[in-house]
Amino acid sequence: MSAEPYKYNQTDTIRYTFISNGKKGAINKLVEFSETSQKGIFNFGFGDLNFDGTIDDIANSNNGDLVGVLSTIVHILIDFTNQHKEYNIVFTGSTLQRTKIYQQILKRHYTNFSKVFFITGLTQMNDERYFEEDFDPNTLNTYIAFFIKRKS
Amino acid sequence: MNNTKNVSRNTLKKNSDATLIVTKSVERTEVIFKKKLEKVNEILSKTVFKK
Repeated sequence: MSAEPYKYNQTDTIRYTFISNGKKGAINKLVEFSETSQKGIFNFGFGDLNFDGTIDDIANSNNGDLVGVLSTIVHILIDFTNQHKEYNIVFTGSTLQRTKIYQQILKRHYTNFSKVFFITGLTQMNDERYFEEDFDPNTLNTYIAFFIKRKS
Repeated sequence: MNNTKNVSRNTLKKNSDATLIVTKSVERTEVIFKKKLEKVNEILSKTVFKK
């Protein structure tokens, strides 16, 4: 992931914004970390703030600057976890397909990501419970969600 | 003078419309984030965490 990140702003303690500039023009992006029902675990929310009121995510924006957007997101994750090293960040796709895309991205950049973050994934068992395990970039299984936590 | 007033009104209306659109976008985004958070909370409630 060598693209330069976009300049981002932290608008409050849990929100960041930046502007993606691609083939469709400028798209306002919003990143929000929301505390979950589990103490110390924050959900990573990511969406487009389009002027026509529509909202999309990384899988559908198709603005031709995916690497730049991902690079910015990684920098935001590093910035947020610099401020809150003890937090676990959880993220999942709004659909199974999007979650698979996240898994592919983590797999592709695992070598770099794992230098900065502990990465785990959730697998679903037959009894509908989920188990957290170390993220395996070579697994053939599909994870349900992912956790990252800063290494010190 | 009248033209100035019209321009000012048009500018104000455009600014007001833009503010409304952004506000609606933020509200819709918050609704989507809230739904995602509910989904994540449901998953976490059934999760056996790594020790």
